[in-house]
Amino acid sequence: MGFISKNKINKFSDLKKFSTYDRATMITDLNYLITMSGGDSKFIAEMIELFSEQVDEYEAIMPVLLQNRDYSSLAKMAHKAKSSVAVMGMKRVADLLKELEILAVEKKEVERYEGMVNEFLEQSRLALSELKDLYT
Amino acid sequence: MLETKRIDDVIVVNLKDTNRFNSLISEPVKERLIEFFNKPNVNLAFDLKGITFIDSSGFGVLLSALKAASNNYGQFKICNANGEVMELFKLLQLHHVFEIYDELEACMESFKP
Repeated sequence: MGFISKNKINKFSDLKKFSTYDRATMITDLNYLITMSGGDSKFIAEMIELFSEQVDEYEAIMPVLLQNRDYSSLAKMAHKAKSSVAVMGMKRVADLLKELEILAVEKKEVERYEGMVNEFLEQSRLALSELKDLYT
Repeated sequence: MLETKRIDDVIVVNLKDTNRFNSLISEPVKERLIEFFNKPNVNLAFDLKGITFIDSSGFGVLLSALKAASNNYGQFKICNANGEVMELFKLLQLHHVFEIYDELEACMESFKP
């Protein structure tokens, strides 16, 4: 098994074709992951589960960092979260986290952080729901 | 398939007789790795020295091992990923997920309290 396997990619394409989701309104886009893994469904399921665990972690820790005004740690966590959402094809959220990371490093526009964190967590929960419907 | 040795309280594991971690060996490797974490508080260093390619099934095994470790108070760390393999970790953004060390010595050091 390599990283490219057209048969498996077709299998995932079929899943998308018959799903009730409209690609234009989807939060996630797993094309990158599907291509990289050759459509390896076990691996993709592992990555989705990992993302789910990471979201739990972000949900538990980020509000505490905000409350403690620990903006350096918040910047580091935004950096890590940016990678997590990027793999799931959540480009808009990845851009949001990149902005949060840059702002938090410099401790600028602090009043925006809570809204950005809430937006990230809300989008991540929606993404998980979407991913679980489509791929598990 | 797997070579194991114990250094202090760390189990060091590497793949034997292959330079590819792929679907041909992933299932038995997964079973063996997860077996290690049946006991609690196990520290395991997975040495990738000599491995030049990991496919998705290999990465899946590494994720399963990491999960098994964290579910039973263990630690699963990686060392000696060569340039190409490290690129694959980065492409999949998994370099943020695993603790990866350039050398076994540094990896061993990281287990010390």
